[in-house]
Amino acid sequence: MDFLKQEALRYLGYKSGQQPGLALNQKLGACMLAIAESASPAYAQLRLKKEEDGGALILGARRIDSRDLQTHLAGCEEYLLFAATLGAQVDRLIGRTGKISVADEAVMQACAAAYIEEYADSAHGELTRAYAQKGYAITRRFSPGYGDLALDTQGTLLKILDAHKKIGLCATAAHMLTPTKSITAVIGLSREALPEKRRQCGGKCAGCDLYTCAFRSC
Amino acid sequence: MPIRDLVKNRLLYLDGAMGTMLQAAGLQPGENPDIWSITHPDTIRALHRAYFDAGCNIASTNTFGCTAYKLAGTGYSAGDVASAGVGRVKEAAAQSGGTQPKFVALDIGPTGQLLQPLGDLPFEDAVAMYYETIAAGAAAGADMVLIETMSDSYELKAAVLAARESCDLPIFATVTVGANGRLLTGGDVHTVVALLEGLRVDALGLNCSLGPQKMLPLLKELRGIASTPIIITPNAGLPREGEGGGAVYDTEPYEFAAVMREVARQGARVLGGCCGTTPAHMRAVIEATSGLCPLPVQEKGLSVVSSYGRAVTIGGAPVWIGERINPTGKPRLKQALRQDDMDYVLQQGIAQAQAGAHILDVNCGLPGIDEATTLVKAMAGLQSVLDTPLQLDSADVNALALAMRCYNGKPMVNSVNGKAESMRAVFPLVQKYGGLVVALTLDETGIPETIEGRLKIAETIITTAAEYGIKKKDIIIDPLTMTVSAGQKNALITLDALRLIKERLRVNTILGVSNVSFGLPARDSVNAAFFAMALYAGLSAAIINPNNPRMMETCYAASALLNHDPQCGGLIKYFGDPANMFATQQADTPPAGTAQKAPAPVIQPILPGARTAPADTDMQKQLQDAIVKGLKTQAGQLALAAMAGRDALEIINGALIPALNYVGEGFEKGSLFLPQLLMSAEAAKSAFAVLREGVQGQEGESAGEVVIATVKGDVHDIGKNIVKAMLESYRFHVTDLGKDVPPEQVAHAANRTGTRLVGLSALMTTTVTGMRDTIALLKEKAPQCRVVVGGAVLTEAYAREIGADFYAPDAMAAVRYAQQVYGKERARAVKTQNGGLPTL
Repeated sequence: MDFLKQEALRYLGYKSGQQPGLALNQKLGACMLAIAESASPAYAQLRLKKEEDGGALILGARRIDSRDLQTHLAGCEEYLLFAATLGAQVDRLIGRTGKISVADEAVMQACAAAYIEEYADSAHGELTRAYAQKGYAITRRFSPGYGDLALDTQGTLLKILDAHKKIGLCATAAHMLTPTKSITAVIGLSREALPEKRRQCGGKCAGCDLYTCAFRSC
Repeated sequence: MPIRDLVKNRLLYLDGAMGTMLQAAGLQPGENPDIWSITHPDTIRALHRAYFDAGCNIASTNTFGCTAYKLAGTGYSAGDVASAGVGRVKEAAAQSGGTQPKFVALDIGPTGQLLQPLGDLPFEDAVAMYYETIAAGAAAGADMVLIETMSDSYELKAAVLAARESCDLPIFATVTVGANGRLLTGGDVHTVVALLEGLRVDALGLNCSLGPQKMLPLLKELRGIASTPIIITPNAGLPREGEGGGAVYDTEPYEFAAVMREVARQGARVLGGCCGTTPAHMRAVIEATSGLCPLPVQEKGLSVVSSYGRAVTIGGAPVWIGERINPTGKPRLKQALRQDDMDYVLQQGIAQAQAGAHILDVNCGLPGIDEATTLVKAMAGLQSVLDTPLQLDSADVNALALAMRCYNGKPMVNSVNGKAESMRAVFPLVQKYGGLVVALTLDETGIPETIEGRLKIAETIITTAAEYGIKKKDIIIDPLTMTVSAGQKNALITLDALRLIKERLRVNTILGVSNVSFGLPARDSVNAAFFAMALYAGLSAAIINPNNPRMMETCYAASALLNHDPQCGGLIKYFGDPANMFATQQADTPPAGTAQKAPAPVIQPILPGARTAPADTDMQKQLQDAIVKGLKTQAGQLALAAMAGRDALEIINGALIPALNYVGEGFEKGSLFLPQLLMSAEAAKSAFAVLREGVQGQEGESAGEVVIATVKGDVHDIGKNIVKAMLESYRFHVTDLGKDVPPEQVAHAANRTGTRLVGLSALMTTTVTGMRDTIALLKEKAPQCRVVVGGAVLTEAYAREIGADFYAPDAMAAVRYAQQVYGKERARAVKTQNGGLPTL
């Protein structure tokens, strides 16, 4: 829980070492509890063989022209489509909170963001162990909207993964995930060992090149 | 024999999986399966035929994803695919040598989009999408509609309504639940049964997600509440990942059949298979169950109302219905409804739900407003944040019709009465959309003064309802509370009529309680006494103010006395909460003219440099401290105390603004953070709400009008909400248009309010387009407005490129810009008067 609170504080603009006061600390605790009660976290994954055409990944009927994705999947013959969500009730909880207090809503948003990241990490950890037994090394997550991987990949990814049926996850016409506290990603599977930077790493931001990001943790 | 009769007389067999079979036939991940009815007709026909050959009665068409949304880009319309799908099953039925009765079920699955308010698909668009598919399927000769694998009750309702409106075919509907027994969007078998029986489907049940064994406990639950034939269509166990990455199901046909035999023995009447099942599975099921005689379908007589996520049964422990969302006699609510201030309405709802209301009454009847639109808006808003079922309350039949149609669940409906015209108007709505209707015992001759008169009207209403197929369980009789000050026997007549109606007609009863004490002193005491008597006379539900501690105490005490509260658990829990222990001591409204002001709480100043000062300054200092600390309640109380004998504007300038500026500058410098900024903003807002009265009509009343919105396509509104809170704390009047707002609506609001500033928020690069379009329209239609923009992906350069006047990297920047636009530099000037604040 302490780690989750620290993450939530980071989303609220606190830098490492800056501590919240007693009131905010209590608020964080209450919000985390409310989210844990409302959330029905779930994830879905699908293993696919990597098919490429002139450097573009072929995903279903679609060509994904993304150099960053190509780099992410370098050396991988297979990959996973991954999606995780906290479910619709968390969106309702955040909405309800906001009708009473926008301060609480901001804290609730930050807590929910920390919660889904943590859940996706734990799911990712589960997959890492499961695929290690099958002889695969597994990369970190790479999500639509990062680098040059277009946000409109979201719909294709969800469709192939059948994410709506499996975990109730959809995308809006503007490619936003609904329920909102959700994550999609592409994860590479390699028969060879992978360097630290490409694996699920301790520092969540280690693999990202956006060094100016306000939320960068390492 | 028609399928509606068959399902009442024997076991029926649905087919097994379609998707699993198509994958085995070469369907690739992401490929549209539905168009295979056209592109691979032989494969699809053979598949259906294999199920008919196995002995299945019903083969479902290959149309699970047959909606315009999922078919986009395939070159085929939903109508084409639905017709082809029906054609393939009919051909298969003709080819199969099986002698069993065979039916074509038009298969309907989820749209693949989340409906508003959780997603961006409007309810009526979902209805229209389903309508296109079902109308085509019915025209092509389908025998029934099978709605399946639904995980959202709202989408389920859209599909059933579309089926009702496009054809007369029987409707079978199943949902999919997780291992926790819940739908993905909330809800459980209780809410699903309430909704589907309200909509009068012909059979209902569960499919997918779970294997047959895991469905057994859920079947038991279903069987305890459903009065409709039950369908069970499980997966062939739980999936594991196969060699190629896809899902593999391991349960063998004989294992599957053994559990399905138990499923049939426990009361399911329609058996089928979902993911992983094959014709071999269904053949085994049919062999294992063909000798069984199905259990009869029993009418359970349960009176239930529901929302998407909660069902409330009336007829056991008394049910409390919150009365506060009704503008009669509530000036603040009237103002909110007139100004379209849904936040206030929702706050009233949340407070009542938290106080223990089981159902909330929603009435938006107010002269001069569009009641239907407002009622739907209030209802949708409440349903977006609460799972408390609603009582839709209107004398306007059109408003009721619209609200009942879009309501997510089975609503309570207030009301019908014994007048022929009322019954003619309201009963068809209940028949079509489902609902539990409040029936008032009055007719063309008025309200009878005798108990027998009221009983007779109740009888007439129940008899007439039956002609529309509305059962007694969906009627709740209101014998009408009359003011005792207008007739000494009024309360007795109501209580006696209540008892008689309950005993003779065996129907649920309801009363609005508060009316009894109108014009009397100590109204809370009179109401509580009457309420307790009514509960003893057999009252099933009461419309009360759940925020009134005297009423809630009576609720809990009477429930315990009348054996509705095992071990007095509810009573003990209620009074165990310190907040409730002495609540009634403050409950009664003080007599007019003796309004008390709350005493100023004693809080220590946190700011250094708080020297001994004259009383006035001290009070202001405390108020400043409360705002800086973000203490909302204290700030309001201190503002009230500070008001005594002082000029409100002076308090605003001397305490509110310096405190806000102090926190705002701390945020800008990075020494204070967003939560502190917002807590202070809320404290300032609470103080200003008190001080507003003192500055009405003066310059200090409002700093200016700002219209804000999250742009079209964007569903994230936290940034917009933060800016709104900050602007309001600086006394700007904010018109909040919400999220996913079309450009036209923003331009319209800008002109309607005459604002000089519009704030727009967008989170993603994909929704900045919506922002660009909105700015372009504003420049054309409301050129007097400046536009400030903000959002995660925006930069100053990007903002300039899309035509914005100002880019606000955070909420304080938006406030500063608003001050600049309205030329209010006073805040900074005033700050110099107050040097008592510490350096940040």
